[in-house]
Amino acid sequence: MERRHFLKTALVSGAICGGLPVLGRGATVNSFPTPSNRMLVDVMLDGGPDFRYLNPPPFDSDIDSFGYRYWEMQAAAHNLPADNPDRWEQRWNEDYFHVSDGTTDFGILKQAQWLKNMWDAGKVAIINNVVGGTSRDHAHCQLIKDLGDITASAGDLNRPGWGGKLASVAGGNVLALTYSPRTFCFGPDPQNPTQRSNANVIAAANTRQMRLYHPSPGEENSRAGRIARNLKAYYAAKREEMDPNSIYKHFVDMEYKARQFGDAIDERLSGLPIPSAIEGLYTSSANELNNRGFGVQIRNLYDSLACSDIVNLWVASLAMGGWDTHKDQKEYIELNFTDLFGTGKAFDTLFQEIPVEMADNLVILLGGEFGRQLKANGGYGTDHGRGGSILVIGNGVNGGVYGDMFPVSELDRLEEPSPDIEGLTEYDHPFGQICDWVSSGSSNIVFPNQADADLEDGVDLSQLFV
Amino acid sequence: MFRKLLFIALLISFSGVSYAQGVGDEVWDEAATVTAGFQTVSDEVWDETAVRRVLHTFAYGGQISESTIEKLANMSPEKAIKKILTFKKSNRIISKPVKSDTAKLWKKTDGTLRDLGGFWSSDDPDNDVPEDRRYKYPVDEYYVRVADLWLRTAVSRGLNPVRQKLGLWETNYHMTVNLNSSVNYQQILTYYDDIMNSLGNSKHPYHQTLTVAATSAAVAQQYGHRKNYCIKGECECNEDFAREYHQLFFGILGNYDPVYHEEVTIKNTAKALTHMSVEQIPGIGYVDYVFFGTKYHYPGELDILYSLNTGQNALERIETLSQVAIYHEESRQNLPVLIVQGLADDQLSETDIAEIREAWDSMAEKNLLAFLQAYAISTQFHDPSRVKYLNSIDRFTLINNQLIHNNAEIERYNLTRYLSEDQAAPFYPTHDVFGGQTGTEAANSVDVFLHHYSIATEHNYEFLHVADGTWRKDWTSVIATKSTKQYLVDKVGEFLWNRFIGDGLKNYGTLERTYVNSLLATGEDFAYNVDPDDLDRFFTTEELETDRDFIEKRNAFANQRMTLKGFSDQAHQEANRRIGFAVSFIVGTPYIFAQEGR
Repeated sequence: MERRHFLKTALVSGAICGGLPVLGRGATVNSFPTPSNRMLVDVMLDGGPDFRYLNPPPFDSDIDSFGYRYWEMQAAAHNLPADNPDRWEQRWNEDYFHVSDGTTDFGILKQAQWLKNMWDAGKVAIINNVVGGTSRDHAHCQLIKDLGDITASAGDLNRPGWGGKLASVAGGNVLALTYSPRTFCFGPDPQNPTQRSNANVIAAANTRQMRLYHPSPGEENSRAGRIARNLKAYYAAKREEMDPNSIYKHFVDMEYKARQFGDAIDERLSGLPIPSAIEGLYTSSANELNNRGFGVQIRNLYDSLACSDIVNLWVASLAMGGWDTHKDQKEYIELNFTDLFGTGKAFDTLFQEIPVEMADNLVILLGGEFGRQLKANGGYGTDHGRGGSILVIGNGVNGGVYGDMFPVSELDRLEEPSPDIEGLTEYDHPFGQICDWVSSGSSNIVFPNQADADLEDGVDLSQLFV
Repeated sequence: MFRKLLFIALLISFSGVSYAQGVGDEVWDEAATVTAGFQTVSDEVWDETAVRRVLHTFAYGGQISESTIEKLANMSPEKAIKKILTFKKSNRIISKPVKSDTAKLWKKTDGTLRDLGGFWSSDDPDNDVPEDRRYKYPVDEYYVRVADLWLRTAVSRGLNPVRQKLGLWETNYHMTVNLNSSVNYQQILTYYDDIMNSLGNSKHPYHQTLTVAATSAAVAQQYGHRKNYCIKGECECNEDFAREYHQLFFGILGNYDPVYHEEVTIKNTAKALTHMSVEQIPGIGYVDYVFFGTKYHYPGELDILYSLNTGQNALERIETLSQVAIYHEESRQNLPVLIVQGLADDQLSETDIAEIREAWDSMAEKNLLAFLQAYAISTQFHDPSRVKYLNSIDRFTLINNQLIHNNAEIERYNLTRYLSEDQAAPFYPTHDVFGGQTGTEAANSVDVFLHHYSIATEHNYEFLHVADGTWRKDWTSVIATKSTKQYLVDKVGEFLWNRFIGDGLKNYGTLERTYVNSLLATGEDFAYNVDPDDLDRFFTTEELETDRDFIEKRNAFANQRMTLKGFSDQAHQEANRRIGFAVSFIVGTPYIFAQEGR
């Protein structure tokens, strides 16, 4: 309650000062459809991000405190000397915004200015102590996260993902904006719901080139044109004739989707120039991302939102690599956080370019397959740890800290081998809440085992959304 | 203590006579034989289509004549497979040079990428790379076009496409290193060549190859353990490769005892990997070899995988550890499955997996080649349920191999096509250490489909380009006169389908045959030939098989002879161009994207 009061006050004062962000400023709104449903934007941070690096505890000179021990144990990951508390304190003071939810004080890396603004606006939920996996194996834990199922085995490659399930329940589609769809995107096969289907996945790795080649008028019988006509007619016949169980049916369906959606998307986007700020994310420019590929995905997301009525968008899937920071973490992770949350970078730019009503219907989920260990390693990085945090951001989000951000019990485990954050909350709970926000009542279907899934004591995620 | 004793017992039981009695050649050969698990197909099943399936899966289709395929099909599968699948630098049975291939690459080079690059960039009079293209192949410069070099190697006659297929899989999928990381070109070249030299030595058990990889400069650079040191008893290490050595290289995830694996095996493996320096030479960069030091190497015994690991330096320790890891229960369960999944089957059943494990276990000494040879002639490999989706490299290299008829033609074709756009460029694996684009990823990517469709249509120039001032495309160099009955359209179409799709005409139905034959017979598509004013018409199989006019037209096309031999130059060119049209169509069908068993 105090938190909400604080937020309201902040919003009023922010609006007066013009300093607080508004999700979606509607700079180029004319070509966007009015959204008819809420949408999930899932951003997979491959490799296992160290969110403690983004949100560390305040430095504390008490050598037994969490705020001292954290900086001591993680000094190397910040490229700091292991035995110089003054430098740790300096780092905390100079390189982090100091924020609080009223109960927990923590920092936000200064490169993440947009995130800080969103936090101040009450639009960021930080959910802590989330179980990443039973192992510390990237592939297995990525699969667990994509399926939203801690019990998934490493071999469960053909099961439907929770994003696909959500879209399927909602009667919509998943847009996979990565170069190839993640397991997360695939919905259940209606004939065999334990197996996945690509029926509601639209792969859109390049939204500006979704159209199959068509010969121009007058070119129908050119060398290229005659083969294009041949194949068009051929695939049309195969759609009718091919055995639905043939492994090749997949490609016949893909041709159809490309034809069906490609032309419509192409037509819509031909009247919607890419905003220069969005284009700048993946081209040489002042706001170019270090990870240009992610910039392209943001462009894809912008386009997908502009075509959300055509593609019946309910879920969008993005991914960003580079979070497996075993070595020289500071060098790499800060570039990543800047790309995501920096001023003029990915999300800041996106939300300046989409209409407010579109932004109001979005929730962004950011997280990796697991977290990192409590102690930096000898390579100025961090090794795999099972528990971690996820971020949920959106206008509909009830911002705050969910779960103990800095469990004191960790201090007793620091000298154990490979100490990591203890996972206390299983995916079923936060992801289930997101499902329900996107499509009311869907969580019971997407996460049927939610009642039995672990939830950290004292955490109430039913308040995750306003 | 109990665990250690148990492990030693397991080690002895699975390592067979070779460890117990010493490794002699004869004993080794016997030990490396697959004696259980896979059932070999009958001679009846082992036909030309079976040979093609092996070639398409393991050799990008090979550079092989129809008559050789026939000969191999007439041998017993056991005999034939030893001629098809080898890791030698050259296998001229499946990579047959033609008369115009002046450079005898198997004599001119040692078959390594480095040596081939040196030759192809040289002024050697036998070098058949055009002078203006030799810039692509130098290997002693700062920037080395490793992808170009590998792609040429994979399609060059006189070498061995199986070797390159395995080399790419080992270095870009199984034990991935990445030019997008800090690994440099020289390290990549050495990594690839050292691994393939090890695999090419039939006396090397597989774990030795994995040791070669694990102790390479490329891996030390990629994972950063080149900076792992033991100082005053403290391991200043990262655990990245300590984990992935077990997981990625050997398939040991740690499920046997997660806490022990995490807190003992991985921690101690990190210690075993200390003082592996990769020297940086000013102005040149990091060297392509590791210095295995002792000063900052962890001293004493280490408990890893329930065994006591000893060694003066990291090399000694990894050599010892690999012998243990390859016989670890999880490795025996997972590694052979990982190999088969990676190379040949995306839809393994539980029964398949059980057979694979049994076959692997039956080899006292693990030998990758023996294992693959047994698998490639197994009922499992040739079962209709087997499905392998092609990644972009597989697909393009298969097409290139079937399109290019001699080494002098290679540079006329763009071997890389959309590989970068598909995020599938060799040695730049899209998943960093977890490997390149997989077949299933390619199959699920609309982008990949669109690019491929564009190659078949908008950019089909390469299929249709048949002549210039000094060169003529000549499909008669690969199309047999006899089996096509003097280049009968229907038979040429079948030849082309088998060459590019390799399914024994299983999917060459009325629709496909109609479209292909129309292009071969007239250079025009069937719709045009039916009605030039209704170009967008499409046809169903039923109407093609029942409408009298259509039947008549189809028969006329099928029975036409192509002007491939004994006609004017212009007529030859036209016939070759029509073949190009047919190839455009064939590679545009869905059947190019995946392979099935029988």
